[in-house]
Amino acid sequence: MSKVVEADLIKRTVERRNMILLSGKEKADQILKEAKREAKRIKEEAERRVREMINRQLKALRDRIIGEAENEGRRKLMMEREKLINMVFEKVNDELRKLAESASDEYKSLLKRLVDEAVNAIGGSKFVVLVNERDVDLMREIVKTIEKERRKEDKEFSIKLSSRRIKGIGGVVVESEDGSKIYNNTLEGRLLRARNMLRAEVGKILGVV
Amino acid sequence: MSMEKIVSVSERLERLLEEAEREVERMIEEAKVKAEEIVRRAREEAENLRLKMEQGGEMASILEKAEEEARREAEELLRRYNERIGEMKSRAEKNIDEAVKAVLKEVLA
Repeated sequence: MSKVVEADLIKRTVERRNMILLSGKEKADQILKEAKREAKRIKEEAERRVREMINRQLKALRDRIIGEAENEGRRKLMMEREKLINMVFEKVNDELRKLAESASDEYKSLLKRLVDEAVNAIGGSKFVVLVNERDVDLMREIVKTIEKERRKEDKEFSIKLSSRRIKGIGGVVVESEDGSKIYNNTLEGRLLRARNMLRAEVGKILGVV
Repeated sequence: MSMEKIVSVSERLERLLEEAEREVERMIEEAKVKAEEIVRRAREEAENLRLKMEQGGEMASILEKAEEEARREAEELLRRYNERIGEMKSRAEKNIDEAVKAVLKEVLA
């Protein structure tokens, strides 16, 4: 082998050796790089899970405490609203009681209207009217007046004051003679109907809804 | 140049390459061991972090702080509700006569 050939062989072998070492180093670096990437991913995942766990517990805690307060606040608000609306109907009830106890012409006229309304609603010619103990005398007069007025158009018309009494602040219950039809026109009955009908309206007037 | 010398040079060069191959294997093996250690440590740290949050006082302290804050918010919320209730009551007081009149009108109509 000539010296030139030998030198060339050595040079190429050294180059190849360097290539092998370089490639090996690159492979080793790549392994470490991937390991570091994996470690970073593991840590980030752990931190994410911990953050999620904390956030879940914080949310549950906050939802419970704020939720309870929200419910309590709403409940109190609703209760106060109901109280205010009920107060209106209690006041109306007091006004009706005062009116009924006054036995005034206004009340007499009201009783007559209540009977007329009930008679018209039931229909027919023969009726029985029930009132409370206090209104018996007033109703005797009213019955006479109504009979007189109605007989002008219906000779068969009759309305009797029942010996049965109703309880309550005033108004009437009118029945057909055979008792098959009953019209509750007591003040409480009318107030109850008004309560169902006007509840929302009362809230609006009061400014509570 | 004698035959012995040619063989000797070739063998030495061959050995040089073999040593390089062995060096590469050693480097890769070392890198694998280091890599496993890096990943093992990361898993250990992750587990420690989880345990620290679950068992340590850190979570309890975070929750305690959050509870205090939520309670303050809840108090403020209730205070605002009470304020609304107060406003509602004073509005209702102003309008109650009108409401009574409207219901009476309906009952007596």
